[in-house]
Amino acid sequence: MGPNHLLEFYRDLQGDNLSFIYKGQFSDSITDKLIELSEFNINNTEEVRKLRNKVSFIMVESFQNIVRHGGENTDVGQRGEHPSTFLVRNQGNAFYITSVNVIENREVATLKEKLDKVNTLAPEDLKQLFNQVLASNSFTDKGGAGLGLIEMVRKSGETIDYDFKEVTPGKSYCFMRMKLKQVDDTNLDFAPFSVDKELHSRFIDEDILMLYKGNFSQKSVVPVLQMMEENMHDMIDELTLQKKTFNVLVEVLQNISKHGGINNKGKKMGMFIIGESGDGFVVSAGNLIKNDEVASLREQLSNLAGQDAGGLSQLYKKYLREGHRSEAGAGLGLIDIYRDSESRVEFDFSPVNETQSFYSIAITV
Amino acid sequence: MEKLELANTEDTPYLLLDKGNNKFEISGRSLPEDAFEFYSPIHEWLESYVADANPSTELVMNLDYFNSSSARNIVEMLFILEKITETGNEVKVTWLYKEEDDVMKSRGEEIQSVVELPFEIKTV
Repeated sequence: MGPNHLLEFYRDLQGDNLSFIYKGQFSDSITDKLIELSEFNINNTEEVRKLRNKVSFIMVESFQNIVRHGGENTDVGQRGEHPSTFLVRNQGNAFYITSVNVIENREVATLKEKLDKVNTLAPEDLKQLFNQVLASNSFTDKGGAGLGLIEMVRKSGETIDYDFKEVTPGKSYCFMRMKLKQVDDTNLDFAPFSVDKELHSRFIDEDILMLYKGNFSQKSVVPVLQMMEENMHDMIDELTLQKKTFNVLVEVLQNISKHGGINNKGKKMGMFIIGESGDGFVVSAGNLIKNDEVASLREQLSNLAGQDAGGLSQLYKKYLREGHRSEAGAGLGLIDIYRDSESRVEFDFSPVNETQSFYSIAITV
Repeated sequence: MEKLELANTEDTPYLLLDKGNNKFEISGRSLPEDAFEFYSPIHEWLESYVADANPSTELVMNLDYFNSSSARNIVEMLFILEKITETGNEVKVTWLYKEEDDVMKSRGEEIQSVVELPFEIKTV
């Protein structure tokens, strides 16, 4: 995993205003942060602002579906072999919300039957089924899953895409994708389901924990940090590694939010990926910068790369003593990144057009 | 002089600057995106305070985390407090860290090395 890895995802997700892929703990507080993050992006995206409440509703249902069904076996929990994953993407007027969790093979047939039923019923029939299930509690034997499916179809007005794939003897991945679109866009063709399934398998193969592509500001940085922090508490025993990882996250995310270039839609669009690597993590991030800023940033990074621990510490102290209070962040942040990672930093600049380049950095902690 | 007390938020620390009760504390985490904006009123308060400081001032710093944007501004608080030493009044900094938190311990040591103030580093 390096800067090129990030660039590859960035290119593949080029059409996305928002991409969020997450593998980890599924709890109510994580749900809250996720809603915060997605609502921030929706509020800043004219085309889909009207979808906000529906998207949030479906995300909660879908997330809770994982909370209820994803972690029943300890070996399929967040760090197990087959963790649950959650994907949210916005492309133009369409929203896609995908959940992937592992279920027992013997549950597949019943679930498939339910999905086929909700996918084929007319709106009135769905409403009737909803009331019937509410009264009898018969559609499910596990805390509301049936009602959730009915509600997701009713709210979105679209069918649920689903698939099952055996992952290990006796267990299967259950993929479910909910779709939403602006009602006035009648010509919209949804992107193929296979794209999201492929993203999921890349996510698993490359040991990624979180990917975020979207609008960067303190309002999106804070929920991302909180989600990662909640996960890190459980993943890392050693406090020092926890703190260093957290610091690298803060510095790279706030760097995009402060210095990231503006794309052709007027947004501070950036991307961030964190994955596991050996005993630690690789944090990579990328954003647009002006072509005339490339040379000085490259020089700054190369200079830091040439310093040993003592040199970095001297530089850090010099900034603390002499830096300007209002602009101290930028230089210190990079020194911090080099120190926390013991200089395991790679960077890259790829020209985008005549005025901008894509700057990416990958840090191993 | 009116005290300055700020409740902590998800990205800013708890702060108490209280001349009347001779209590001065900053604690929690500091990761605002614009630290200059957050710390400016704190620096202003301290500038007025050092002109007429209490006989003995102790600033307790019990920070769990600070970002690079905060670092320079936190040090600035101490640069302002250094002025007290010129008046003959006493001033000291107590830097607290959790026992296993090597990162905050070494952060404290670095800050200690760039300021000229009695500076004690100890576990909570």
